[in-house]
Amino acid sequence: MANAEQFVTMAYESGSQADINKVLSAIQRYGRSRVNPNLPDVNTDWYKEILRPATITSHSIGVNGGGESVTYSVGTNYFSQDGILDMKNEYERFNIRSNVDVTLSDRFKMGTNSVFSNATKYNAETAAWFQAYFAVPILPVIDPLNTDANVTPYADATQIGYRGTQNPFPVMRFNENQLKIRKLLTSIYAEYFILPEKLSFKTSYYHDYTSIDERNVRLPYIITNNLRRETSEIRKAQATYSNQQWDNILTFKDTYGEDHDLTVLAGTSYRDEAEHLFSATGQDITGIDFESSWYLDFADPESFNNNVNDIGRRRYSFSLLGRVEYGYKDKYLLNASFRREGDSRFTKDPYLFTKSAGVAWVISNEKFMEDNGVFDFLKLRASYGEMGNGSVGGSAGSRELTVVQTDLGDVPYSGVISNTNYADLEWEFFEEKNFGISARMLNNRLNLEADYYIRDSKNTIIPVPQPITNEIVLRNAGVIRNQGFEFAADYSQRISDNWSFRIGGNFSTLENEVLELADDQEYIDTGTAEFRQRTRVGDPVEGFFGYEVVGVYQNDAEVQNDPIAVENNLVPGDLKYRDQNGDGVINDDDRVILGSYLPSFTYGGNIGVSYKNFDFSVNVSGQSGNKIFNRKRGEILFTQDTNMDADLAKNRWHGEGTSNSYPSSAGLRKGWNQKMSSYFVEDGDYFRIQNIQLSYTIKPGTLLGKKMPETRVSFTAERPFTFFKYNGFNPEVVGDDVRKGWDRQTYPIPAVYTMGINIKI
Amino acid sequence: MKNLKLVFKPLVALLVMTICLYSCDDKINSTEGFLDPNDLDYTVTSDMILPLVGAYAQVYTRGWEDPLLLGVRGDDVNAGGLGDQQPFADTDVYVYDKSYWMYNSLWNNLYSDIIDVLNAKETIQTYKDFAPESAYAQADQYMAETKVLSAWLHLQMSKVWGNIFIITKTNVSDDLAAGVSTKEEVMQYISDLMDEAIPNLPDMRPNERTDVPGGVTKYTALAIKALANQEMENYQAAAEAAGQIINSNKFSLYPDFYELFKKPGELSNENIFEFQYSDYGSATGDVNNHLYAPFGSENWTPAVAGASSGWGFYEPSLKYIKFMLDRGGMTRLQTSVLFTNRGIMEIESDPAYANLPAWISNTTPDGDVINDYNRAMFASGKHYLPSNQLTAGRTDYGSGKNFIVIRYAEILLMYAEALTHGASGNGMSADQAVNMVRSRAGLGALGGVTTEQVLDEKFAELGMEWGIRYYDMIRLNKYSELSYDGRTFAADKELLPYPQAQVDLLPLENN
Repeated sequence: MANAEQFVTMAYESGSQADINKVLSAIQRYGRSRVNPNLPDVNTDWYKEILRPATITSHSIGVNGGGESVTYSVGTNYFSQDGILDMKNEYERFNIRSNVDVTLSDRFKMGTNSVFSNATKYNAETAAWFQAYFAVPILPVIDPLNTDANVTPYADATQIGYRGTQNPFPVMRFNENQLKIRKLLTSIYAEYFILPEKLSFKTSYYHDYTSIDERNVRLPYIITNNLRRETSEIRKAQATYSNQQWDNILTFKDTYGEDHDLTVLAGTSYRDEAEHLFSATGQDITGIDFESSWYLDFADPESFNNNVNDIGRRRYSFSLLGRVEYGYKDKYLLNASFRREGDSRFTKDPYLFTKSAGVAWVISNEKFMEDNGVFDFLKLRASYGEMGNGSVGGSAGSRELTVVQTDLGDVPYSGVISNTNYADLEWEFFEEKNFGISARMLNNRLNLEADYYIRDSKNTIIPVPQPITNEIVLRNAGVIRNQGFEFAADYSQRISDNWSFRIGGNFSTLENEVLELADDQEYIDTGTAEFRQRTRVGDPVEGFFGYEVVGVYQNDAEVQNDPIAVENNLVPGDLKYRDQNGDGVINDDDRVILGSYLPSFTYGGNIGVSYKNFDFSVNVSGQSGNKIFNRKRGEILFTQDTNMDADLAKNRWHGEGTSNSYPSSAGLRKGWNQKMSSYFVEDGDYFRIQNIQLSYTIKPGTLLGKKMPETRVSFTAERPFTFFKYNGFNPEVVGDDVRKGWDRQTYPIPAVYTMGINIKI
Repeated sequence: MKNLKLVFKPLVALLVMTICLYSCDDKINSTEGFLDPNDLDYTVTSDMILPLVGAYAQVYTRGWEDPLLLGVRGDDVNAGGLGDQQPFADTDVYVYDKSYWMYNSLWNNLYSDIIDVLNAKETIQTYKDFAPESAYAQADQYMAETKVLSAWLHLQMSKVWGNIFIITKTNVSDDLAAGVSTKEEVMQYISDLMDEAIPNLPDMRPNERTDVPGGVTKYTALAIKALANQEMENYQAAAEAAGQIINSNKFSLYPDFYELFKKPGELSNENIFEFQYSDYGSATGDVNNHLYAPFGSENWTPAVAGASSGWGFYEPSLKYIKFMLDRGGMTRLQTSVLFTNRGIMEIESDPAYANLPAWISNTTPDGDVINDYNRAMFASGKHYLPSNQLTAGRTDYGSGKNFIVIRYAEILLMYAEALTHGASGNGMSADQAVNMVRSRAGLGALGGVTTEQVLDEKFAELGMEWGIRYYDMIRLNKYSELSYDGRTFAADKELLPYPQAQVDLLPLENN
């Protein structure tokens, strides 16, 4: 982030008297810097203020064992983690797991598995991250002049002329968000061999139950007129998620005449996913000073008006499935399968029938490949598959009614409204063709996998803006193709009794293209009106869409010589956009796709070395070709009261030759430079050292002459380094459904350093 | 026995699977947690009011940017200084940017409300289909009310953008296929729609209504009809509609101009259309409020400590203030403008105004002190609620204050203006109408009023309200009035460009 000096320089160069006056107010209120008299005596690094180093602790104990008919595994784990935001922000979890498998006879097996966990979590305030990003560096954390405060006198930016109070500390100090999370994941199965070793029937039932008790407490405080909360507030929310699954599978397996292997499988799978959220908010809590009275019973009963929510959702799905596998002499392999799946979220047509088939040829098992000296194993594969994508969408299939409240004659009246457009979806599904090769060479030391895939997503579900109604609705809107090459290799070798190493790497390419859009639409717009993303046939899906910056006007002569600049009253320091169609004006027709949020190349690698009892390993990963929309810089469209990233402050245009990519401080505030353009769209390439681990194993019985169990001591650094150009904290940006690839509220990803001890008894 | 077991167990399994298959597959067609409007019990005629209340709720829920953008271009008001929302300040000086978010937001807010209002109308029609004949009149009245709401929304759209789509039902495809209508056509549509609605509307003031307190009535429809005809410069029709309101003798000017815009003036006999907001007099619980902060001063010392300040986005112009000082009379200036010391010094720096009356002060009549702040020198007084009128425990700027949309004074002056353009009146004279307004403001009577005098009176009386001044000026092509304080206005600046997002989404072409 920009420091006070950079920020003040930007303010002075903005040409906006209001911005300059705010700096002067800060000097007047907080004193003048003795180093640089143009600055207030404040230089707050808000991230430094709100962050803290945090610790993680984890302990586990486990027992495995059993005999011929019963095997078991039980264990427990304790985990605690402090959050890096300097507020009540921590996580503590205790869990118990048990697993029992019983073989009653050679035909009948049964088993259960369960994990129970009990966790308490205090969530960080996401608003604090956002505020810390935008809070101006000329605001101190604490302002002793706020003598009316009944708590710590935190500084209030409205007192030096800003529109908002900005200081993230009040939300960190006077908000608390507790979650009690209890999860039970349990399953039971029974398997019966109707024909021994040939025909079996297995039924399994899973229940994944989660209950979350949430308590959001808002304590009252008074600091200034604008920085105060007179009335305390508590929100209680009770969420339960109950997901059940019941599978029944009949499997037939046989070998005919030694050479023909056949497996036939048929079954059903039923799922029921229910969620329920009940929440209520009460205000003016009697006894708010005591945690023991943080219950809605102590709230003002009038405050519940229109503050109670009860939301339920339930999804059912039911599948029939079948699969046939056939192998001849382990050389020629065939498989075919089908699935008919019904899902209540796809209201237009809940059913999807998918089929897939694959062939493989294990060349290394052929006679002519015996003792070939190169390949230990070589296999060619080809497959065609269809698969429903149940992870996107969901539709009500009809208009939805909402109850609203309004004021008529100072009396609250209830009314109803409903939407006019609604999602009525059918399944999105993939159709994938894959060609691949697997090989092992050099006495199985080198492993190779290579694949080429073409995956078409059909009936792709996309949020589509509807005209006039201002509703954005999910629609089955087209066909999108992803194709690429995937490659992975690893090599390992033992050099001597003491030394061994392994090395591996993988990469994949991705080319994303829209092949078809429903109803012959030319394009579908997503993102927002200000920050447009466009899906268009022949381009990647939801590409950032706007003007291409070719530079910055450097001097008056350049402005005068460019009719576009003259027409738009531009001055040096304004962005210069490419006139794509060469018609001499910059208008809508000059907007182009500026890039995709999808990486075109992702890669990873690992290396491991062992020497005697030491093990050392490093994992890396990275990606390139994707773009990130720096929404944080876009905040200037809505308010100019904010701080900015240091790169922008340092590299702004401030005179001929100073920048050809960033506008001047005054320019940043102009509509012309705020159009969606490549200025906001940055490269998302990164390279990350995912983890580094060093460990030492103490063999049993060697230390101090005592009988000592095998003990392993390790040191791990997770994500210690990430290299990227993007001007944000973290290049791994996801965005949400309608705003893919946006970075508005991501925060630094912490590096985690762990010491571990593992004792085997 | 063993063989029997062998057969029996798979049979049980098969049976279980069959039952599951049958019962599970059945649930695929259920949706839980949603209520489909088609599932409402339309035979419960008493619920027919619910969609109507929903329509009012949607229309009252206005984006903070709506009234700002509708009004900012007039010579009565400025955007406040630079430093924030520069394209808003550019709009104030007639430099338009069709990708500016406010334009698109206003478009979406108005059109989506039109859809909600039409949706309410269609839902009421369904209730009517199942209702006993005795309830038909009520259904027709409710539907007529939605027409009034839809007409007001169309009126704002067309004033800002000129040619727009007329939307008549929630399935918009036919209306979109018909293309945009000219401003003339839109205004005629509004006028006709009001003629259609009037026979079914209650013949009373909004504050006399008991079923929907403060809801629209016959007179709201007449007012909108008059406004639409005024836009078309059909002054005869405007005068007739306004005259009907006057001749009803139901409306009167609220005696205290200052309090008219505060809580005491809510649902007064002057108010013909009013957005209602309330915190229900309670420190806790849900509120239905408008975000007035953009209108407020950025820095004040409220008489009641703890009241929040505003953003300073709506600054009465020096031109307006000087115009008011020239006319004398304190009531309307003191009500319309909140002064800062910096602003007072700026007025006094003009030798013609070196000696200001003592009541020009940065302390409001209710004792709130308006301190200097960066953005602006003045704040809007008509959108200000004194801190001593806030409900105890509520600190948001203007919490619970209603927003007057159409008031009787505007009707009187519109009537008077129409007569000066040659329309024949069906009631009082233009002089009488103007003098009623003047007398409340403490000014003497005029005789033989001219169009110019009426326009001046409108400027003084209706300044800062809904861009009334701006749309008067562009209707009468008084571009020189809009060319003030360094601005230059021209005919091609009258309308805002269609928002970029809408040009991308709709069959629209910017001319």
